[in-house]
Amino acid sequence: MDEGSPVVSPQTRTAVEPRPRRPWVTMVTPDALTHFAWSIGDANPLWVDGVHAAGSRWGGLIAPPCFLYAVDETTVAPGHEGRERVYTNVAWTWFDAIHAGDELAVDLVLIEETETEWRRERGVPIQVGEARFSRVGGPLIATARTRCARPTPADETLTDIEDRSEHWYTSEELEAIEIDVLSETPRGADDRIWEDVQVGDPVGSVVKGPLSVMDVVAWHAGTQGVSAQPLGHSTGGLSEGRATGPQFVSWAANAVTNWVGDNGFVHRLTVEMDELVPLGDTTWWQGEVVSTPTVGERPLVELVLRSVNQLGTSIGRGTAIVALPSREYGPVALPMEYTR
Amino acid sequence: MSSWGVIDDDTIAEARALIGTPLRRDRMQWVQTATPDAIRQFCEGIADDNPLWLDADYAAASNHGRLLAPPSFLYALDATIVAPKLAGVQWIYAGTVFRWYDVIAAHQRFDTTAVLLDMEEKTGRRFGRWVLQTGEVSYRTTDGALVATAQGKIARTPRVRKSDEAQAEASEPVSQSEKDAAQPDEGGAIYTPSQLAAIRAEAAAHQRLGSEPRLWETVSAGDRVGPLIRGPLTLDDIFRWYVGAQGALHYGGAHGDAVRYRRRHDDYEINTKTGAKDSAARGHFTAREGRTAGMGGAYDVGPHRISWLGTLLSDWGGDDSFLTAMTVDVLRPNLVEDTTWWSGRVRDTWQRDGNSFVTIDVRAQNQDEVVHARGTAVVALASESLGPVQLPLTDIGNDWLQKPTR
Repeated sequence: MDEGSPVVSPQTRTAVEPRPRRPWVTMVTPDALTHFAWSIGDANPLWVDGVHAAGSRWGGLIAPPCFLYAVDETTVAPGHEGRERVYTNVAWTWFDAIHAGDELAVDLVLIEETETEWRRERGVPIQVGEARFSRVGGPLIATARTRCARPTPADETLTDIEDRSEHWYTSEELEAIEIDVLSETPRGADDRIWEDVQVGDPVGSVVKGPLSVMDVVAWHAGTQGVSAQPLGHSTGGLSEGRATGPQFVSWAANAVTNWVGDNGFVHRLTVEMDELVPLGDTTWWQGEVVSTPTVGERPLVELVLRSVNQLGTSIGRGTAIVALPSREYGPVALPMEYTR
Repeated sequence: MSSWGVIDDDTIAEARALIGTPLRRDRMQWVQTATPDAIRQFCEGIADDNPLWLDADYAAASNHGRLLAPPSFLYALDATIVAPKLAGVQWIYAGTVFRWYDVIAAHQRFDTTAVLLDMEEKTGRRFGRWVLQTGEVSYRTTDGALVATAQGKIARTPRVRKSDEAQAEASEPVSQSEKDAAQPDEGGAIYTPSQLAAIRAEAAAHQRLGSEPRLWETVSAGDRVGPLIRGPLTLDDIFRWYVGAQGALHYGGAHGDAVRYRRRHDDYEINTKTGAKDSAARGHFTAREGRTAGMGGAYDVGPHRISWLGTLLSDWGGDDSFLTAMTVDVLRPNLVEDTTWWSGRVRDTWQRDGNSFVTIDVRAQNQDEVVHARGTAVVALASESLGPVQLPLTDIGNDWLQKPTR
């Protein structure tokens, strides 16, 4: 992954190995799926309603793609204690669906470490790592390639949450946000057929906010807890009054899964984020179809995704590749092949 | 809505009409199954590191032969909050009466039912009229076996508004004025370094009986139980309780779930920074909001504190004991920075229906020696005369609930 600032004086270090974290969730259970869906405000019955899910091609509950954040938060940023771990980019690739009953494991690998000037600070370590998820004793199910910047802590993070100002909304703005929330509709059982998709078709939106402390509580409850020991998680979360990077990424995935429908499959999602979303901010994710290629016998759709906040400021962008059922090629064939 | 936040004859009658009616619980059930993950998450929330709940190998070698959940895990299966109607009237957790009949085994799935038992009208010095709602939750395995019941008590008091902050000084029933005097504003330390060191040393020295037996014959009236120390309380401790035991669920959830909930129910507060509808839980997370709620600062969650007592009793009784019953009244807030000592004294030892029991009077007090929770517990112990605890237990009746003579 080469997104972001140009790398200065690249060097790869292998001295510090990433330490495995105790997972918040090891087993994909209905309770754990529900907690994750609740944690991001994902109303899709495919993750939580056993009767609905039994009618899909999966024959039962499956996990939303970013559920894997509950198994591991994916930050691979060992060493440099005292510096922040800013989760700036991720490239997720999923090869197979995650089913209720699966027991999951993860390996963390530090791939590269460089130093660069990052947001006007010189000599900031940049760490690229990969979290590799598998069923216990089984093949690879997904990978997350992450890029973390390691700046010295910014002074603003020291301001007590209570003393920070947040964005004040007019009642018209709040009503518009609620209408956006209430109009989010997962595609569900009505298959989105590849042949019917056109370049330029809109995706989303989903809207999350105004971000409240209970939203962040819900995220931690679904994915990572509040550890008494440092676990090398990325910057953000409850203690800082901000959404975490993985939380922001999961919102993007929510926009994509709402669009693909029950029998589609999210193969890839990349997200680049400019800054963490503070309490009080509202985040929209939406996108559009940019191409509908076939790779081999596999019909795919490429999406671009954009995120803006309540001020209309762009705060993140992404891409996705999804596999859809097709009249010509039939249902999505899984697992998808593992290619580097 | 004109009756929002109002306690009057009409709103009380509306709630009273629900007595005895089974109530929906989907907003009170954080988990349905005691999965090992869920048990570990709950234990992190109450800082209970007993291997009987966390280590499958250890638990398999115990006399139970399997991983168990701590008794207070019931709060994750159903929050015991049975407080219907009185929209806009805040609720304050006032206590629980638990009765357990069998262990909570890992992987067990539970069905819970709840009914409102009673509405008690009270009059306080400052608030005037308030209501104590008592409801009962039954916890059954999917085979229908009754594992436990819990009676939750909820105080419904008029909401304190910004303009009424003077009123917040002494809320009923959780009187707070003496603690406000002892509690400096945030930033002030309430412990000397040596006091903090003593607290940490005491926490580190806490003993768990574990696999050693505590025989009933070795216990006598007057014996001390504990203490178990928890504190100084931090916001992270409160967050850990939330993420392990309830999430955002009790307040309608997060994001779109909360929007949909608040469109149906007038159960929210307006966030003073954004203007948006927000959960009434904010007083648990900031000192300012906690004062607005009449608590004097960021305050703990009653079931969290009561769960610490469960830890003390399991640690004291050992793996072969069985926490049989517990009643706790939450009397005053426990604030961020406060330290809690749970302790007990054996009131009585007795045998009934083939089991041997100990009744213990318990209380929680803080660093200012203010008692902020009080109650009674019953623990079944193995005995020389009757052998191991026989489960499931038959009901022990209500004698233990009689107030001790002091």
